[in-house]
Amino acid sequence: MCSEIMVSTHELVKHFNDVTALNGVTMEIPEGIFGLIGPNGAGKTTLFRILIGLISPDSGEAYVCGQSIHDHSLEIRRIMGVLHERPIYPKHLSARTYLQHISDLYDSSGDPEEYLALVGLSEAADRKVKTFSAGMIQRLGLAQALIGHPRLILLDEPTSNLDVLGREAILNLIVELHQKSGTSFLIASHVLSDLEKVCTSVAFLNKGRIVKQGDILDVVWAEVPNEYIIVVSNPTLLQRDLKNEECINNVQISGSRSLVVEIGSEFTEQDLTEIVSAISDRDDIRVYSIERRSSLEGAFRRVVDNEE
Amino acid sequence: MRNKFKHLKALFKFELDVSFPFPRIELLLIFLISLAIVGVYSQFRLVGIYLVPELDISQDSITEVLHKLEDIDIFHISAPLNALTLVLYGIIPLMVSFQIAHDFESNLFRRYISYPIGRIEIILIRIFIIWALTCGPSTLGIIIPYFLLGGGNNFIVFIILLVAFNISVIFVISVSVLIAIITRKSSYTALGGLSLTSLFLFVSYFITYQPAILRGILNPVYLSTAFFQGYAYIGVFVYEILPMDLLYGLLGSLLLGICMFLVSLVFVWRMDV
Repeated sequence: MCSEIMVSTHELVKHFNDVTALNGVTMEIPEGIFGLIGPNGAGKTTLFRILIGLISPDSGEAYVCGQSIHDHSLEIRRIMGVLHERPIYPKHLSARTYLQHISDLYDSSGDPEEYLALVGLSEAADRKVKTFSAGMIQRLGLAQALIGHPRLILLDEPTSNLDVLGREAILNLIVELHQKSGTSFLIASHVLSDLEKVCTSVAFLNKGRIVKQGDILDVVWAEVPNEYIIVVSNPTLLQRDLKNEECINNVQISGSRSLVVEIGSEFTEQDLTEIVSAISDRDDIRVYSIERRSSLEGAFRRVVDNEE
Repeated sequence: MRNKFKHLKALFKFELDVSFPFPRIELLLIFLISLAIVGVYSQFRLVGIYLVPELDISQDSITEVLHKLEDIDIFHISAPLNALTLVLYGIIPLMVSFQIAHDFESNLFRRYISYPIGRIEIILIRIFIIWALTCGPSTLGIIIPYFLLGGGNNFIVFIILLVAFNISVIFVISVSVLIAIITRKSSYTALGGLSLTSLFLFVSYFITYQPAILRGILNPVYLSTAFFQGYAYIGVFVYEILPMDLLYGLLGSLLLGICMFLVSLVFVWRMDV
C-alpha cells in the first residue's frame, strides 16, 4: 500500500562522464499532480530514468511508494506507468495489438479499447502505428502509461507535439484520472502554462539541484513578480513613456508587439490599465491587451535568475 | 509459479509479435531449413560413396579408398556444409543487429524495460528466439537427410555434426550479442559480427598450420566436418582430426561462447539505458 509520499529522494547524484546531471537531489513528491520544471539539461529526464530503474544513481537513495529503487525496481514498474519524451513504438503493430500486449504483460484485465477511447484514439485502434501523426503517438503513449491502473504515472513532456485542442484534452484527462481513480502524476514539461493548469505541487530543478519546491500556490505567491504583458501597436513609444511612471519597476520590449512590465507590489492591474490608457490616448498608441504574465513562469524565471 | 509462467508466455508472445514480425521470420526459417537440408543431404551424398559400412581397417581397404580420393579436392567435397556454415554465420550477426542492437539504438529497449520486464529477461528471451531460429533449421537439416539417406551405420557422425552446428551457432550468437551490447549500434553489430565471424572462418579454413583444437574452437563445424571426412575416407578416426581434438575443440568453443554470453549479461545488468 502506498503512503502519502509517492516519491522521495535523498541526495541523488548522477554523473555522465564529466557532466553532472544530478547534484544531490533531495525531494518529496506527495500524492496528486506534481510538476517538475527545469530548463533543458537540468536533470529532469535523468531523475525519471533513475526512478524507473533504467539507470543507477552514483550515490543517494530514492523510493517510489515506499519501495527502494535499488531493491524493488520490477515491483515499482508494476505500479508505475511511464510516458517517455519523444516516445517510440513498434511501427508494424496496430495501436490495439500493442496495447493488448502491454496489458498482458501487466496481467491487467483492462480492455485496450477503453484506454484508446480515453485518449481519443478509438477510430485509429486498428491502424498501424507507422501511420500515426506525432500527436497520435503522444496519445498512444499516454494510453499505454495508463495500463495496469498504475498508482503513479511519470509523464515526460506529455503535451509536446499536440495541438491546442489535443493539449487541452490531455490536461483534462490527467485531472479527471486523478480525481476519479486517485492516480498520481509526476509531469516534466517546458510548457509551464500547462503545468499551472493541472499541478497541485511543483519543484524547480536547475543544474541538477532542486532550487524550489512546494505547493504551487505557495511557490507562486512567494516568488512571482507583479508582471504584465501588454500587446500594443508601438511598444517602443509606450516603453519610453512608461519608464517615467512612478509605479513601474521595470519595462522591457518582448517580441515585435509586446512589452513586459513589472509594477510595484502596492499597485494593481487597474492602476496599470489606467496609466497605459492615458498614454495610449495621448500618443495615439493602440492597446490590444493587458494580461498578467503566467505566474508560474514568472516564479520560475525569478528563482532561476536568483540562482545564477 | 503460475504467474511467472503466465508472465513468460505474455513476454514470448510480445517478443514474437513485436521483435520478430510475420512474415520476415517465417521466410527466414523456410530459407534456412531448405538450405540446411540441401547442404547436409548433398554433403552426405557426395562423401556417402566412400562411407565404409563397417569398420574395415585392412590395408587393402585403406589403399583402395585413398586411391579413389587422390583426384578429389577435400574443400570441394565439404562445400555444401561450408556454405551452410557461412550462411548461418552471416545471418546471426544480422539478426542480433536487427533484434537487439537496433532496439538500443532507437530507444525501444528503454521503452520495453519501463514495463515490468527484467532487462536480463528480455535479452535472454531474444537470444533464445535467435538460437531457436538458427539451430532449429540446422538441426532439421541434419536429421531429415539422415532419414532420407536411409540412416545407415553412421549415426554418431550425424550427432557430432548436430552438436557442432549448435555449438557453432551459440558461439557466433555470443560474439554478436557482445558486440551489440557494447556498441549499441546496429551497423556496428552487423559489420563487426560479420567481420569477426569471417575472420574465424578464414583462420580455421586457411591457416592450415595451426593446431586442430584452435580451428575447432573458432569453427566447430569445420572441425566436425573434417572429422567426418576423415571417418568417411578411411573408416577410422585417424584422418586429420583426432576424437580428442574434436572433443576439446567443441568444449573450448562452447566455453568461450558461454563466457562471452555471461560477460554480455553483466554488461546489460550494469548499463545505463
